[in-house]
Amino acid sequence: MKSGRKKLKRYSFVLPAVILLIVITIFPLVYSLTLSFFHWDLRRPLGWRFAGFSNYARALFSDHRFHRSLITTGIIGVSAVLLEFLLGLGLALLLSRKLVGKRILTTLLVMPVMISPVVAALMWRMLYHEKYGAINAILRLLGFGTGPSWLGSPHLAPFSVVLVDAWQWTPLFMMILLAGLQSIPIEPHESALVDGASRPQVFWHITLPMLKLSIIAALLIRLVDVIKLFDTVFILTSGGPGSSTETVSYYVYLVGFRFFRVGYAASLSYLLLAIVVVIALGFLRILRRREVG
Amino acid sequence: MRGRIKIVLCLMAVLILAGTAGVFAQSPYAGETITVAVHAVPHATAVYNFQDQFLKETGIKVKVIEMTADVMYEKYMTEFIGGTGAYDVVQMNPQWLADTSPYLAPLKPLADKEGLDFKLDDLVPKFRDLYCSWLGVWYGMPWDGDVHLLYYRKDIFDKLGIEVPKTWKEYRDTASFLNGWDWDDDGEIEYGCTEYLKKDRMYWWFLDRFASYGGVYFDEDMNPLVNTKSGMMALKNMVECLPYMPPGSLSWSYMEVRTALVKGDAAMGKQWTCVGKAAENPEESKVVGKMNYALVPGAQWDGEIYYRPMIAGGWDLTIPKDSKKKGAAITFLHFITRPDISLQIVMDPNTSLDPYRLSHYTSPVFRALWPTAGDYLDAINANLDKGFPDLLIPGTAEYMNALTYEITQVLAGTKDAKKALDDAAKAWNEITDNLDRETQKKLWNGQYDAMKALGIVYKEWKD
Repeated sequence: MKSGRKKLKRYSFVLPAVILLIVITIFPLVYSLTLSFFHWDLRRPLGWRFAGFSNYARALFSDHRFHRSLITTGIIGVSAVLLEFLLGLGLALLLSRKLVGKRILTTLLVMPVMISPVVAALMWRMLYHEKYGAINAILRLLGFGTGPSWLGSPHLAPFSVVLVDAWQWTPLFMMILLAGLQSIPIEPHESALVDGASRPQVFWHITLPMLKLSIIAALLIRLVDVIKLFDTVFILTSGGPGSSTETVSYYVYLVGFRFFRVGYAASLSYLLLAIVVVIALGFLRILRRREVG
Repeated sequence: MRGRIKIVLCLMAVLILAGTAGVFAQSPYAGETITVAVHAVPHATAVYNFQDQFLKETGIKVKVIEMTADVMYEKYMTEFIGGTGAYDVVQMNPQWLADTSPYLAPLKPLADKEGLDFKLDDLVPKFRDLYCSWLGVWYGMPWDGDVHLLYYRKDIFDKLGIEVPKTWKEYRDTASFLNGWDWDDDGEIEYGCTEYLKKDRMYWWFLDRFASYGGVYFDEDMNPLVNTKSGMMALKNMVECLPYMPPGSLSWSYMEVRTALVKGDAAMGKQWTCVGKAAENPEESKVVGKMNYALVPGAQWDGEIYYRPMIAGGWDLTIPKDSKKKGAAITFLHFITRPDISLQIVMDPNTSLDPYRLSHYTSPVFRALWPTAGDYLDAINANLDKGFPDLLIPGTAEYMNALTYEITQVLAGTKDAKKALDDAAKAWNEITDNLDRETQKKLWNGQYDAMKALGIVYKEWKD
């Protein structure tokens, strides 16, 4: 009797968390997964109509706009994450040394992460203006002519989106990699240097391998995040010019919240989730291999 | 002495009480607070400017929710579908009435119940008849009377002896001539023309051209006509004009185009009505007294020019069905669209709201607001007279998005014009099927009949 009460008491402590989890995570997941197998257009009074796999088939085989947005997301996402990684690693290496004003510099560098992506995009939209924007004004002062059309060229606009993303999220890489660098013991470096290794050799053969875990964690976080890139695109370009910056999240938003074809939008979201899961599993496999190694 | 003071104080108290009672007796909804969802400043400025007067006259408080045009449709729809009753008055694009009407309260019963006269005969007929009702039911009061105008620099055209372009070919040639040199001697290079080409709502800048080349949205059988010669001619002209626009124009929306016009960076441009007032506002404009207004160019048809300026959007004020304060809401609608109040609103350059009552156009105060204000109001009337309406059937937002997606790819140089328009037509067919072809066909023919009554009918371009 007593043990039963004890058990009940234990469960009662966990129960609120379980209920919360079911309400805010499990239920929406199950609901949207179910929805993805139905036609449901909120503009029409028909309600749910069973669609089987037709939403998924349409997305996979005949929705060229979806395919195009996947490619755009890949180009923007990979470019942004690579740029952020390289810049973040450089800054982390810089800040791992003894520097005057290191604390102030670190605080200033971290600030973009704290800004809302919408505010950051609005700020950059003004900076990018061809005539009244600060960037082209500086370029004109330096004698580079009128400056490029940052958001108006289909070739440059994806790069401009990458630049804004890199400005905002490089500090995240920097912080994760700096924490990783500070956790590496100093002895292997000193031994290598005593044995006659050059600084680049120490970096390639000791620092980088020991930093691998932090790098993979940072890459995983950012890749998963960049696949959901929406706010920046929404404010800066609305996915244009043409289809040059229309990311998959922006397209899913249009289908779900502009066209109100919520069943189809749910199926697109699940395909996106599948891509994220594949990427995450890939990274986790690398991590596991490292652990085994 | 004390007795006198007491008497005076008593009298004052009585007067204050009587006065307060008088004010609050004017509305049975005194003490209520209504939530009004409007386009963020500048439009919201109009509500802020008059909410105190409304409170004084009726005792009803106004809480303003500002949102941008980009997100209004989805915010409204999600609130409406959820039945939250979050808003009592919402600013609505007439294009969305077909989708939102099931969630809106018809205004006539509310107005009749409160005994309010909205002076509907004073509304511009095209706004009243096409943009305020859906399937014969009155849902909205106009709030912003939008139509496209052609703005041009009169001082420069006069100085150089240039005629105002009447056709799209002349528009292109004039833009070409005025592009890339310092025609106003301010030491900076200027541009031929400026247009809104950002991907979100640029379709209106295509549709002015498309319609004047004889295009309408669909035929009677609901087959898209966007990929006809009318569409090709429109798109060809847009592509030809693009080099004469300021760099970066493919990402420009309303504010950038307005800035280019009022800062004197472009010689001419198609824009909404409000830019005329901004151009005469010395706090914002460098071209005060230098701007003039004309019909948006058209297409030459056997010696006659066919003008079809877009009655591009505009805004209504509507009342959601789920509002718990419909009485206070209709009182607000009546107040803010009253001829005297609305005249003050549409004359104010800081509101960006434009005339929509016949009395606005004839108002001697408005016509004397700046030396060419009369020309401005006449130009609006002339464009409205020949105006081409938006697509007003369910799914308009999706149809227009599909069109924009294709057109902007052509302007960006990444897709062939014919292929893009064919793809747009294909997408329109898919949307029609998805929304039920027969229903869409019936509703479109309802709109097309109204357009035919105005003399707007598809004409195949022969050039």
